[in-house]
Amino acid sequence: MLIFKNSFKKILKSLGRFFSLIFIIALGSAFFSGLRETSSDMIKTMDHYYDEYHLMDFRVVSTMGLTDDDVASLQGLANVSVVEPAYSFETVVDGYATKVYSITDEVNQVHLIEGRMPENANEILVEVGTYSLGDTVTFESDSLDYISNQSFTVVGLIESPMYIYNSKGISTVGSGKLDTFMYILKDNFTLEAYTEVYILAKDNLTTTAYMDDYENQVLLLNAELQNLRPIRETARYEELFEEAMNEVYKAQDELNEEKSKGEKEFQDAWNEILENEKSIQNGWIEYNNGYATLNETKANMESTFASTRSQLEASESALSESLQSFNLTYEEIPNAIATANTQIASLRAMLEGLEEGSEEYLALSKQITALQSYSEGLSKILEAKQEIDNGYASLNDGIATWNQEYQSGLNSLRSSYQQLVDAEAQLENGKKEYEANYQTFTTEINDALKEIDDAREEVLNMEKPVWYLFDREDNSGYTTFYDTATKVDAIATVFPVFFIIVALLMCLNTMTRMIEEERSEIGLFTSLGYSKGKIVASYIFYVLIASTIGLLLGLSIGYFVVPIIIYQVYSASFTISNLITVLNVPVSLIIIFVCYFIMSFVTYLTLYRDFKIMPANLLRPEAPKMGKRVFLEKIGFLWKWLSFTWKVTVRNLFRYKKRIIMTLIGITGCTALLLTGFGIQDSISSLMDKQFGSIQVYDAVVMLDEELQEESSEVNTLLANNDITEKGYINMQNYTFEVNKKNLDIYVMAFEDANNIEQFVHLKDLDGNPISITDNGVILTQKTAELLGVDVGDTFSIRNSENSLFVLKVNGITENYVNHYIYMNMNYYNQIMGETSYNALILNMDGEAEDVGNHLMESGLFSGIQYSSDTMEMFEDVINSLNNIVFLVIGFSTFLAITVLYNLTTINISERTREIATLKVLGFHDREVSSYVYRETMLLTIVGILVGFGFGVLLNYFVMTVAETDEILFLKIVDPISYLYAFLIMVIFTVIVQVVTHFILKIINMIDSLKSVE
Amino acid sequence: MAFIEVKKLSKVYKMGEVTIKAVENISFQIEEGELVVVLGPSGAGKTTVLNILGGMDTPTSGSVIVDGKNIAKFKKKELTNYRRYDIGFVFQFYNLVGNLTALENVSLASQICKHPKDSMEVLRQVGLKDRSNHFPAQLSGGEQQRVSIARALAKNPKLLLCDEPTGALDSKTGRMVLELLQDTCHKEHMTTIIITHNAVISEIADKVIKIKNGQVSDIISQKNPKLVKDIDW
Repeated sequence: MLIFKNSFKKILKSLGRFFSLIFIIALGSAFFSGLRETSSDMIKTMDHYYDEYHLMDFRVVSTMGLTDDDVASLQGLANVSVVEPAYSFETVVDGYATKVYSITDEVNQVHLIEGRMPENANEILVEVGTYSLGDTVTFESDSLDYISNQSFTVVGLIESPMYIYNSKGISTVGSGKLDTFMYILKDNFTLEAYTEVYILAKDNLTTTAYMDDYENQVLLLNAELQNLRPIRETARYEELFEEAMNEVYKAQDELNEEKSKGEKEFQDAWNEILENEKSIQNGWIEYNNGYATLNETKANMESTFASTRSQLEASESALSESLQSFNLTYEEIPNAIATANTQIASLRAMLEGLEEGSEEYLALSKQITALQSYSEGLSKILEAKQEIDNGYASLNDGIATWNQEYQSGLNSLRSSYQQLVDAEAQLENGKKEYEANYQTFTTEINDALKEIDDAREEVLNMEKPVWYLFDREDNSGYTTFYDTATKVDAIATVFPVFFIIVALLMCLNTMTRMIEEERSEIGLFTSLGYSKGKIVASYIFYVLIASTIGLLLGLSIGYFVVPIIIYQVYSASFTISNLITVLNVPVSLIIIFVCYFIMSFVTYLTLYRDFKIMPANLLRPEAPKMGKRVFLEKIGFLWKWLSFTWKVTVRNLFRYKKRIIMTLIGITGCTALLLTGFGIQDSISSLMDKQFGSIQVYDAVVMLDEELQEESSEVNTLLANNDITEKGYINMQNYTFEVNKKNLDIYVMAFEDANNIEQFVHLKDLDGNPISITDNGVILTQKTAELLGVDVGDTFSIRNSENSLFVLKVNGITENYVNHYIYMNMNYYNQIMGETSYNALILNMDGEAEDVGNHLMESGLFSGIQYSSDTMEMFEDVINSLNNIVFLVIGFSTFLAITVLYNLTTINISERTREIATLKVLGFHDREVSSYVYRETMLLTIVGILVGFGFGVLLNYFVMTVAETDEILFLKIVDPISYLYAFLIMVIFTVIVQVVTHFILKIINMIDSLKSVE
Repeated sequence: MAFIEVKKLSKVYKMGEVTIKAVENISFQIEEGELVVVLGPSGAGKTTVLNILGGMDTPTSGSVIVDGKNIAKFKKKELTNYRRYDIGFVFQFYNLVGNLTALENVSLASQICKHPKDSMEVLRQVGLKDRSNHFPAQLSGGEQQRVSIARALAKNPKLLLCDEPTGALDSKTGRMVLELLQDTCHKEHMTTIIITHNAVISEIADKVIKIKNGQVSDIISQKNPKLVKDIDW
């Protein structure tokens, strides 16, 4: 259709206007959609991550562990989809507080970044960024209470949906802050009950985390869990009670058995003692008997010996008498016998010669016989004598033998005696031992009895187990992420609104101007009989082409580029680095619809105004606006003081109010956005300088390996040798406590010598006056005080990790921007927390801090070192990433500024072509013509910039307040140099735009412009 | 030598492949202080001549010598200065700056001149002393045109160029304007060129240059031009 062809012609005719329209629409829609979508993209991304790794919806922890029965009854709940039990414990690994979990299959799955899952009991998964694959991780021995082995090989590096944030919450071990987490196979655990049970709610995957549908689902499940809780608590109680009671009974039985067994043993022992006593008594009897027998025998023997002796003596005396008859001594007998025998022999010889029977013979025989009997008698005596001698000898032998026997009898009796005495002593010892043992036994038994009684008492008094239900809200990463996302949203609400207003006004302005310029053409079409509808359609067609191209460009940038740029800021703190960007179709449609509608509506409205005018009049240019006196003219002296050209400028300014307002809004808006951009940078970049350059000026804090009651000369010597310029003994603790459902980490620093604190920390109140530490209170950092809601003179309470409550009095609030600190001196610390000792040294160093630190650590006197530069770097990372938003804001604002300025100037020129041509004809030089136009723009720019500064400061304050995290207090300042930057950018772009328009002005043809009818 | 000497002036517009000869080989002379009417039908090229004479356009060929200077050879800047110091323009549609009062419109021109007349005095001269603080929209067409003339005169130009000064006016006010122009020309010895398609007006001129189809068809010197009040249209 011709009229649409005409639309295309229009585009070609005024490419500048067409592109500026596209550009503004693109900028506006990109900024709007992008900033609005970022928060929802973030939440979607997280939800996707949670869904992918099945982040639990609830975690049940019981004071007495959980059983398979618990799991089974949880599985029976209506709003539950998966229940999985798990184990966990906390331990210190290489100085880091570590939570060790059992690997779960269906809930809280780990995100394996590198490596593989463990296959045996010696393999472990660690948080990515802590250890490397193949490293060995060794637990402290206390971990053997929970698991079967201590040493593991790292096989996989993971992330966990439970720990998406830098800060992982509190820990019961180590520094009190959880540093990292690890996963091992379930089989490694030796605990009898599960430490926790993870629950996935029904429809968990279809709902979106943080959103109402999710919250509702969680509420349903929560209600069920709350109902189940007392039942399971009781069941577990009963189970445990029964178990414990059984154990008590078993112990009782065992004890009884042991007691009776023991008593029997003691009885046996006693019996044996008695037996031994008896046998000793018998021994004594035997001994006595033996002794008597021996004596009796002795007497018998002695009397026997005596009688034998007397017999012998009698025989001897009888023999002696016989011998006397012989008149011989015993010694002479043999000779006498021999003599007799010789005589006999000689007589016999003589006899032989004699006849038998002869007298002689007879005499001689007689003689021989006598001699023979003599000899025989003598022999007999000799024999008797021998016999007596023998008798004596045998008597003596007998006596000797007896004496020997007696002696040995006596000896054996003596040894028996000794034995008996020893036995008696032994028996006595035995008895004593018995008594002692029995005593011990009885005590032991009584103790055991008491123990059992105690145990029974304990079982009877056993507290019911308590179930703790934790949902996702109790995960600091989960909530922090949401806070962050909503923070983006908050920022996203202010900026785009500001932006959109400016952009929208620009579009309206452009369209209105275009239609005004073409009123004669419209008149022509009308007079030619084109229907209004067709004319409107042709303009709407033009607008829609521009809008469509602009929207396509803007929405694709807005949905796919802007959120990624913004998320860069936060990705440093969260494990999720890749944002899922989504085209928000409903919102896009709304944006498209609204844009189309507004553009078309404005087009129609402007056209409608023209349609009311007769075509003939339309063909004539619109009558120029009537000149008016401005209020300034009423201030006579001021008006007179103005030069003629300025008067003209002022008059012109007030002539086109709409344009002025538009220009002012545009320039004000752009300046405000720019100033905010720079202001954010000022607020954050000077932060670290202030915090670490003029507040916390110390270089490091070293943790002493052992707590010291007083200064250690060893430490002092070491420090003196290691480039330490200043040192102070302190007690530093990290407390975590809850404010508004958020955990706040606070460092408590107690100084030994509050007078030298000035060397390390400059305490200044918010007016900049120095504060000193006194013995009766603490100095709080400002953000801490703000979060706690306390002021100077107030008291507040904090809990340490042992859950002890301390009440502190606030003596001062000090300027501080990063982290939370409570400063006090040791005297107050001791008053409040009880006697404590130094656990750290605060240091200023000469030279490279890390080198000095390494030397100190080598000494083994210190357990850790915390460098101020590290803290500074950490925060700088976070802060530097904020620059993205700054660049985004500055970038977008700059584009907007250029577009706005260009647009306004070209509109200004097109509206006043005739006037400009007149000036040219009057002989105004190009420069003069330009300055005639510029003067207004420059004036407006400067006014706009000044107003923009005001808005910028407010916007900056708002944005910084919204962007602030709990750990950081932003300064909310705007440096003078930033005003200069914003001013220069605006002025430079104004000048650039002016240069461009100068050329446009130059080519304005006087002759054509002055022709009255086009 | 005449005050203005136009010799063999041609102006050719090239619109793509089409060449339009607006004026061709025009030559005429104008003496200082003369009231000249350039007469011709619409599209004859008279405005082109005026534009070239006024330094708003440059000829394709030929020379235009004004007060001894060939403005045909002028560069852009020289042309601007020429317009600034030597030329006063009066347009059919006045081209007043709507945002400025009558006095200010006059001052707008005079403040850039070397030897301007007093703006108020000029306004008094055109009979608008009492209306000096009015804005153009508050003035009638004739008044506006008189402001326009005052603006041109205030510059104290060497040459006053008027393009259909009465074209948008009724005969009564047109007459007043013409009277003003004639008076000024005569009293101040101001060289004045009026362009018109109205032959009646030519009666008041010292010289009438007739242009037809881009060429001078006739030049008539009138020894005794009529006074404005004596003409009739």
